[in-house]
Amino acid sequence: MTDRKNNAFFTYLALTVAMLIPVPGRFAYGIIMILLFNLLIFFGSFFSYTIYYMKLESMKTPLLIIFLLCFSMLIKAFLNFISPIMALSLGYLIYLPAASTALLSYFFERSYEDLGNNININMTESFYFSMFALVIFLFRDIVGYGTITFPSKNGFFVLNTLFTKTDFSAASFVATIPGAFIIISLLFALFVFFMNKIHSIERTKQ
Amino acid sequence: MDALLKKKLINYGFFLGLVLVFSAILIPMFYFSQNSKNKVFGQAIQTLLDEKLGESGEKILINGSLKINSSFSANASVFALTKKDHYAVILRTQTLYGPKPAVFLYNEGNAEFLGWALPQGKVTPALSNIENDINIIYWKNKIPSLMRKVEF
Repeated sequence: MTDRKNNAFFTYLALTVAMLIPVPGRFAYGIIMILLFNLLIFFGSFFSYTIYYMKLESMKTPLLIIFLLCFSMLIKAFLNFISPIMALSLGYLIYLPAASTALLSYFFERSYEDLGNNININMTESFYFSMFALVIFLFRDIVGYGTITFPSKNGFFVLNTLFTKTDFSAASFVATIPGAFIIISLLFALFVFFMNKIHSIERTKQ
Repeated sequence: MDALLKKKLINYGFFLGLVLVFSAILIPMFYFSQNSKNKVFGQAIQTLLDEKLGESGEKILINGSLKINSSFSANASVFALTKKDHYAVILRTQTLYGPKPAVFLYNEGNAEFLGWALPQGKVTPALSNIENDINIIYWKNKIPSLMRKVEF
């Protein structure tokens, strides 16, 4: 379990590279990507159990990859119905979470004797990442673009914010891809700094 | 039938079943989503045409979508316009702000950038300064070869 906690940090890094950096920093895209990610985890857990139940574990990795990519294609086809412009913008980015090593090496690595318990663990962990990702998307949308966007049939439903009229163009740097790298690097650096502090305090107490 | 052969048949059967189930769902979905795509892309292009050409008093309307005979059709759509020999192309372009849907006007071998198909908020001025944008220049040069694959 300790290994799993240590791996969580690297999983966040892998998922961030797959989802937060390349996708435009707008809340609407964040909602779509997080929805896709949670559906992949939920149905992927069921599929992993099916593989275990049918005693096909020797073919687990290729079957899971095919399932996750096909499922992402299904979501893309559905997105073409509900918001074709967002589907066009996202393009191949829809397939990145499925292709990320984080899913195979972290979420679906365990054996699947207890389906209920595993879905519970996976969905709790994906919920934490979803919250983290949504906050980043919202922050980049509000500060970078000056709006809050939601998915709609014609692309975005746009809400203006206090930042919309602010003439501070340097803030739009957070909307860029390098800006996303810097924000996320700072967050991870802060996280590591505080975790080290907490560890050293715990060691001193012992 | 020996046990090994039976196991292999189950494995391949499961794999084939998975591919068939997804194909059975995906192919009709792809077919039926074309109408939705054409309608929404057409509306977005029409809004841009009205916005950009409205000041000059010129009224150009969308006159139906055209088929692209290339795998690139997943990332682009072409529409005929009421102005003779003019076409609108909507495609996915990579920018410093991530991928954006761009609209180009095409006429007799020349493509001109028209605008972005989605509202870009505060970064619109930065995204509109595209004279030297390497991605826009790339697409302006690439669109004529894309248009050669369009069924008129």
